[in-house]
Amino acid sequence: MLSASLYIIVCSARNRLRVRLRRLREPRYLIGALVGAAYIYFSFFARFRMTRAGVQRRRAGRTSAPILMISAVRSVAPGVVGLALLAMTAAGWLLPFESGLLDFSEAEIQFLFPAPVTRRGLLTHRLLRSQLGLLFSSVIAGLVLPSASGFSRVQIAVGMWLLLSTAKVYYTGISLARSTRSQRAFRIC
Amino acid sequence: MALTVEHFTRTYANASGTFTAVDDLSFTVASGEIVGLIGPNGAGKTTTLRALAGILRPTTGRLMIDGHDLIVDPLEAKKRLAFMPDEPHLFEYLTIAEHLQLMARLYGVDDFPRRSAVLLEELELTGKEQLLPGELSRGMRQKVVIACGLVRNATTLLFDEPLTGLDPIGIRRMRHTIVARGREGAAILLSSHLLHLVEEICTRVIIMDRGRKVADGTFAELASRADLATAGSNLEQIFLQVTGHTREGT
Repeated sequence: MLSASLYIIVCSARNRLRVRLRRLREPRYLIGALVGAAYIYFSFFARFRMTRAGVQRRRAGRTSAPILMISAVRSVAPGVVGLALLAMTAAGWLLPFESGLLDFSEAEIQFLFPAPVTRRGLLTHRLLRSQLGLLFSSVIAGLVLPSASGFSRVQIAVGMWLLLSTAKVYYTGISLARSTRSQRAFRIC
Repeated sequence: MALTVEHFTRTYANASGTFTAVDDLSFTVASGEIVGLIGPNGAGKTTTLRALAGILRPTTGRLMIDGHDLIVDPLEAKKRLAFMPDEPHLFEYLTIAEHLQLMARLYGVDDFPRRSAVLLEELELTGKEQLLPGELSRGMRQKVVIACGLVRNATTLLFDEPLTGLDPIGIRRMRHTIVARGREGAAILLSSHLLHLVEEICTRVIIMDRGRKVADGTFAELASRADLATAGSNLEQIFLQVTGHTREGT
């Protein structure tokens, strides 16, 4: 199943990219892409330059108000984020929340459910499929969140990816537990 | 028996309680048999086929493919069956060739290049291998789904409205394809509203209504039953009699 799952993910990503690139032949898509590229350039690269300038100022012994603010946020952030995570993990059990990981597409239902694939194999496929989105979100977080160096941006991206992947598995576990419980209740009725 | 359904019941829970889509259904399909599963909308045909394909779990009852229980031994059972659904939902960004390659990876198809080339030719898909589903008509997508089902040596074939969306030439070819698979020894269960097709290619007919089996037999057997048919009755007349829709327009 792993081979089939990777095949679907890799081929789909490649063909999707090809379709998007082919679309650029049309002026409206080309203009949209150029505007998007300019937005990304001015949003992120301008930010990188500002960050570098800030680092240079700090090395020169000068501090500014935004830098002091970032330092203050950094000192309390781990505790706040930890509490938020605790609240979110508890809320997963208390609120009627469903993980999207068990939502299979119609194509997956038609092709993978009748195939000789275990339930674990199906879940692995969905987990693998969700990775592209999670990786993309993590990279964006690494670029957007304020950071002093390229290395710390990589750290943020890796940390976000680990956090999001763990959350995905955790909430899937909750959904599975709920689904099993409701099936039992239905059978008892 | 290649396909055995024993006391299959499927119940759905909904807001107003429970709804029984299929109620205590039992039948068998032997190798080489082409069995037509017919019935009005909501009779439970698609639920039966989706349960046999392993998409839905039976509420009660047993479903066996070549002696392997779909619940107890699902992997062995599923290796032997191919399901061709009525709605061709394909992976949006996989080409026709990649869909077939995916089947080869999932089922381990022997002699895959030759088999896929023959099948693409048979279903008039040659030259379109690199197209994505968005570039295909509904009929072509239906053919891709059928190609994916037939590219391996399944002993049990489940067709749900296989001719939907096909042009007359496609219908003719598909009819030939189904009959040829039956002659090669596959057990075929086919659901269709096209009663003339069922009458023409099926060796036996099962009629369902409101989740229950109301008739089962060869066309000759059904036609000879005094309660179902009069002299010269065709399958459509028998169907209307059995399902209680004998008056025109009801």
